Amino acid sequence: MQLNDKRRALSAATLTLLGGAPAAGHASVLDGNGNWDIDTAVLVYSESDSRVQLVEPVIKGTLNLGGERYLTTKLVLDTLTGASPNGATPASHPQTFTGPSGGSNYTVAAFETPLDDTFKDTRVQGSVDYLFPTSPNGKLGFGLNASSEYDFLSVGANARYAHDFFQHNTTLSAGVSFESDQIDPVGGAPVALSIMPPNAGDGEQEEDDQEGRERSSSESKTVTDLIVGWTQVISPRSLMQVNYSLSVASGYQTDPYKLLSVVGSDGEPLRYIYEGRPDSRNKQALYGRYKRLMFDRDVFDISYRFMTDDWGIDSHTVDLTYRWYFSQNHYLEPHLRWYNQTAADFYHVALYDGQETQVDYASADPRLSELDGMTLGLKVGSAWRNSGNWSARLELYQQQYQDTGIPPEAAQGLSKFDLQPDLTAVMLTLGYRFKW
Amino acid sequence: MKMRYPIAALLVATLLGGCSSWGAKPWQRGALARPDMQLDADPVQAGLDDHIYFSKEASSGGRGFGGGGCGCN
Repeated sequence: MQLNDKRRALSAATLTLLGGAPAAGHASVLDGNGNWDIDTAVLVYSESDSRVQLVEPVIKGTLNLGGERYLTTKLVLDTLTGASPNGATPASHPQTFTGPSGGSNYTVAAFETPLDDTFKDTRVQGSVDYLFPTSPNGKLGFGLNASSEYDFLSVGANARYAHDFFQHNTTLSAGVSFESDQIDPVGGAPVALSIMPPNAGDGEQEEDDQEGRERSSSESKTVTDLIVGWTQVISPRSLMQVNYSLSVASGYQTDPYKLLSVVGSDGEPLRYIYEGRPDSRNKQALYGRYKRLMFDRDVFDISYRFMTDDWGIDSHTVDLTYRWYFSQNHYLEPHLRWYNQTAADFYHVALYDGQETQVDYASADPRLSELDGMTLGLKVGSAWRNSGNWSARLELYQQQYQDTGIPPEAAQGLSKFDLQPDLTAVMLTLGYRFKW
Repeated sequence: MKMRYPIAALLVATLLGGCSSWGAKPWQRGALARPDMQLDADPVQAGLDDHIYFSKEASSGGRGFGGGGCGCN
C-alpha cells in the first residue's frame, strides 16, 4: 500500500507549484478512502493592551479527480476587533480625534499612544484552483480568488506552470498573478496630507478639505506578481528551493484611516493630517529554502528571504522549524522566525510645523518604520494516521521599533513620549486534516 | 572587465557539474515522498502566516505570490 502511494507521489516531492494554492501535489501521498482531502484550521490572534484581536477559521478541500488532476477550493473568514494605532503621537494633554465615519469622536488620554478603537472588520475570502498535468513532466495550475470586507473588495486570478527535469530531480516553475482591488473608505478617501477637520463630531460629515478638494468615495489599485522558481533534490533526504518574485502595485496604497501629528518644537501636536503614500510600489524578493530528513525520522526546514522595494524598505526573514517525532504518530515542532526591515523613505513619526507642505508623501504607520520581529512557537500534532491528523500551534510574536523618522526640530520635545511602544501578540492555531 | 564572463561561465559550469551528482534515483524516493517532506506540507498554516505577517510587516512574496486580497488596516 505504501509502495503504491510512494510511486504515485514520486513527482510530488519536487513538483511543487509556486503561488497561491499549490497544495494539491501531495494530496496523493495521503492514504484513505475518500477523494477529498479536507484541511481545516482556526487561528486566534491576540495583541496585548486590547489592540487587534482576530479569529480566522479556514476550510480547504482538495478533490482528487484522478489522473493527477486536482480541484481545490478554500474559504477563509476573518473577524477583527480591537484598537489600532491611528498614527498620531502622544501628547501631554488628552487628544480628541474624528472617527472615520465623521460622526464618532474618540478621546485618548495624555501620554497614551492614540489608538482608534472604532476598528472592526469582517472579511470573507474564497478561492478555486485547478491543477492538471500537461505532460509526464509538466503541470499547469489556474486559480481564481476573491476577498470582501466592508470597505475593500479584491478579485484576482493566477496561472502557474512547473516542469520536471532529470528524473524529477529538478523543477523549474513560473507563475503570474493579477489582482484588482477596490477601496471604499468610510466617509470617503481623504486628500493626502490634508488637515483632519477638528471636532467633526457634530454629525456633519466632512465632504471637502480646506482647499475645497473633494473626497473621493472609491479608490482602486492593481497588483501584478511574477514568480520564477528552481526546486532541486539534493540527495535522497534533502531538497532546496530558490525563488525570485516581482510584485508591481499601482493605484491607491494609502491607509485612509491613518494620521500624522504636526508638532511644534515642544513635541505637542498643532494639528493632524491624513497620510499619503506613493501610487506605485515595486517589490522584489529572493527566497531560498532547504529541507532535510534527519535520523530517518525528523524534518529540518530553514528558509531565508531578502526583499527590497522602491519605497526604501529592505527586509530579511529567517524561518526555522524542526519537527521531532517523539513517538511513531506524534511530533513536537519548535519554530523560530526572525524579521528585520528598514523604514520607508516617507516614514515619519510626526512632522514638524510646516514640513507637511514640503513633502510629497508621509506616513506614520508603524508597519513602515524600521523594526525587528521575532516569533517563537511550538506545534504539537499527530501524523501518519489514516483517520485524520490534528495539530495545535502556540506562538508568541514580538515587534520592536527603532527610533526613526523623528523630526530633529522636535526631537527634544518628543523625547518625553513613548513614541513607538513594542507590540506583543499571541497566536494559537488548531488544525484538523482528514480524508473524506 | 573581460575576465568577468569566463569566471561566470566557470561558476555556472561548476554549479551544473555539482548538480549532476545531486538528486535521488527513482528507488531512493521514500523519504522525499513523505507528506512532511513536501515544500507545501501545511498550506493552510502557511496561508494564515502570510496573512498575519502581511498585515503587520511591510514585506510579502518569496514563497509564493505576495499576500493580497486584504485591506489589512
